[in-house]
Amino acid sequence: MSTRRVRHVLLFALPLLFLAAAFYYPLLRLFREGVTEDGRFTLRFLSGVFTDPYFRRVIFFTSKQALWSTLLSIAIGLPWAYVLTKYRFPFKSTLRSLTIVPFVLPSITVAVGFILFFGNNGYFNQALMFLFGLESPPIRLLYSLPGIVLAHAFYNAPLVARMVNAQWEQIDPVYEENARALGAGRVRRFLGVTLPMLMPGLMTSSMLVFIFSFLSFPIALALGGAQFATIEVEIYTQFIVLFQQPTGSALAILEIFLSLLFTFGYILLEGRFTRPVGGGMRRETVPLFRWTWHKGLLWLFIASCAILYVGPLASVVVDSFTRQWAGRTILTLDWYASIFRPEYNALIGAAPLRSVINSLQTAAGAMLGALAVGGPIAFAVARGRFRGRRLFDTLVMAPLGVSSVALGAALLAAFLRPPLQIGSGWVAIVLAHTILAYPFVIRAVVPILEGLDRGPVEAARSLGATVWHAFIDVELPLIRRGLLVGAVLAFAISLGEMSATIMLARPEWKTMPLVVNDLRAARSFGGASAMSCLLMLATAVAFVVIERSGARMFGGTKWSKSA
Amino acid sequence: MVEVCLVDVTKRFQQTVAVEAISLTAKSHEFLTLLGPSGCGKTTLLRLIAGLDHVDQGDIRFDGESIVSVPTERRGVGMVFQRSALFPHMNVRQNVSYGLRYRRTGNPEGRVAEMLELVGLRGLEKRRPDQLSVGQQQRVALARALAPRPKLLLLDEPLSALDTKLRDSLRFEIRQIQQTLSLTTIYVTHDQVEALAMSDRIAVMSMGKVEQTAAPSEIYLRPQSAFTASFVGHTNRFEGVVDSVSVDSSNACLTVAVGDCRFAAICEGDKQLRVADPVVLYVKIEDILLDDTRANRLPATVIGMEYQGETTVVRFRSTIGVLSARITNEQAASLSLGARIIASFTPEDTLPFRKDPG
Repeated sequence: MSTRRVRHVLLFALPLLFLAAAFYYPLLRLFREGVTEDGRFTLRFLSGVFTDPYFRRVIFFTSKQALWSTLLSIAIGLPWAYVLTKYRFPFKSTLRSLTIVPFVLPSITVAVGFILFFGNNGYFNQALMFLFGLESPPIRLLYSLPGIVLAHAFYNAPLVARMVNAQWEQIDPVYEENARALGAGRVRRFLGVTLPMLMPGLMTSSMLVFIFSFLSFPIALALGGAQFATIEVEIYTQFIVLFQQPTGSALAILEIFLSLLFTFGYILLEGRFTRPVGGGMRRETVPLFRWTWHKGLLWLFIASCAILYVGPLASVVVDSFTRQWAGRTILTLDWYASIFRPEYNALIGAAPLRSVINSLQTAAGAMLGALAVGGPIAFAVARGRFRGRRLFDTLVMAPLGVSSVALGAALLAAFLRPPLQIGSGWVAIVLAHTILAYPFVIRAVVPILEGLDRGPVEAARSLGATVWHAFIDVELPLIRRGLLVGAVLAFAISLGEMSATIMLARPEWKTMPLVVNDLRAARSFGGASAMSCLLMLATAVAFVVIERSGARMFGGTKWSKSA
Repeated sequence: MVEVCLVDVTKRFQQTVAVEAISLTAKSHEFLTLLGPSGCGKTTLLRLIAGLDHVDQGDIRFDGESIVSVPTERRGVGMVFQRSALFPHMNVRQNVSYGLRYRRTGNPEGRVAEMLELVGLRGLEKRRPDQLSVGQQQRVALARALAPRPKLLLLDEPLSALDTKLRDSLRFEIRQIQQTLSLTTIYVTHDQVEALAMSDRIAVMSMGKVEQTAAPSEIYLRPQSAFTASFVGHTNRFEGVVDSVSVDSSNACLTVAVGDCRFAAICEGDKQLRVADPVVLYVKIEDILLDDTRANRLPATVIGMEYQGETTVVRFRSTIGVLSARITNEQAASLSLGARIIASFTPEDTLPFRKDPG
């Protein structure tokens, strides 16, 4: 074999080898666990999942909440897309790129924010009671379907908005102008002309939102409670609370099957719809801040969005700096002091400071892992022309279709139980985060690689640089931006990841989101808020870095998944 | 300087053959041009010589030594690409000195200055590639390629992105630099004017094969294949059938029936053309006169005139089709559209080739 060949095989085979060990093998172990009893094959657990009325209710509820979440996300995302398309206003591009926030903002912090803001004694209810002189809280959202749905919409509406907006800006305004000339009114123009042309963006984003909501864990856990468990929550309960591994595995198998099916559907849908519409004409935009009366409705929408988005996040910040003392609210830094304490804390079963260190170590490990796995795959995806390319694509994309909790369960089955027990849980956590984060490295790097001119690299070769030197001197500096964005995303995702971690973490390896969850469960919201604020700060830093690097990566293509 | 020798070189991409059994030599100090239309394999051949692609069959030798297993970086070539391919993250000085990193030479600073002097870009050391004009970028690319003192210079359509005026002046400069350094150079282009103006020898390529290798004037005046005759220069083309053949000591003399006309054609050597063979005839547009002084005559009607500055190209219709002729502006002044004329050309300027079946 020539050195070229060896290089290529290494480039493509090493990431596959990693996936085989850290993803496919654990998945097999999980499957085995779901279909064996005392070493013998059985379908008892799998059929139990389908026949038990309780599990059937769980499956039904999971689908129902995902459907409602999708509808509400569209209801919020569509007007949002309208505003982005039709109007101009300061910080528009920033608002547009906020779409990546759901990918990196830890959902447990959103859950905490929702409890603090929309809870029965939350700031929103208090404000309403104060404003209208009410005796009891008027809004009861939490621990029921609406709370989960609203939180999922909070997360996913920006995605719908961005994808529909991207589609909308491709539509030649001439169609609407024609309809107008033919006498169609505002509503008929939208329903008859614009909406059908927006369908591709709307359909693909809806499918994505449905998948994300179907697989969402921290929000369902924190806002649903035991009565409103989703499949994800049930897998967690079976594994971690009830120690019913076989039943949990059977549920996970079912869920993986469903989610792969949905993901496949999404890819089909995307493949059918990704064609540009119209001639890319520049559309006229109207200043948003010029008052006309028909904008009344629009402003109502914008105000509601402001409450929905600012309310919960601001509540977390406010809560982290205040405490009740003698019937009064006072400013304090106590909560922050408490999360940097090195002593054991009974509420979380570990030392809070330790979790901060754990998180940073895990995120650093996951970042390096994601670069090491995602980088070569990005090269293979952008450059590779080889036999078995389709198989390669499928193998490296499949992890996208598996939920985080199921992934955690699989790694648990493979590495933290006999016969294979590798070290501490830390390795398994880093593996899980690596698998969840590497697609983002691919997404960040592939577009840059594809746009890269081979000329400079070949010129370097002709000037005496070896393949390796040409890579270091020329190629690497040219894709630096993509790698930076990928690394930052991977770090942020790992920092906020809770679903897989909760399956794997022993007390000494708890990370910050787990501590937030423990404190939330113990209803100690001050500490939960303080730690959430740290996570949100990390998210904000990541956002600024990515925004300033000028990467345009979130229009919603197949390389996407919620954290 | 190095002598480059290609022996039966073949290169395939998947199922298509890009270069087929080509044997070709660029002598030491020679400026050899690979001329052909896009897709003829000329760039592939250059990349094979540079080592950026790998030969499937055959051998490439530098001064008699096979280099097919030597990687690009150790072949000691300098290469200039169609688009400058400068390193966008480095300034001019860093670009030019890049090759000196890996090929140790005495004084890199001095060498960079010398090279920038050579291409007339002193003072622009700190500029980034995106702050340069396209022409300046190509000069930097040339300086960069020359800085490590390559044994062989490879140029892949370096002028095709430039506008006409710049192209002409840079063309002259490249040739001058090549002659000063006395550097073996292989130049790829689809532009026959460039090829004729710059080269010591030209290899005309078509569909992965070399049609003819010869000095520019030879290529122009005595094309050895129908492709070369049609690709180089501006020509008229007729199809006909050989009517009679007479071969004397060194020449073959044919008469060819084209429609209702009959033309004499003289060619050097015996072209194996026999009576009743289908042939194509090529006549350069500057070889046609608008009078009846030459042996082959054709009555025609003027249908258009194109003023081109130094000359005028006149188009006229005859019984065997539409033809063009290049005439002086004075002659053109006396012509008008619809004028009846006689066009004539010599048998020596009438180049016959066997018509390929199909």
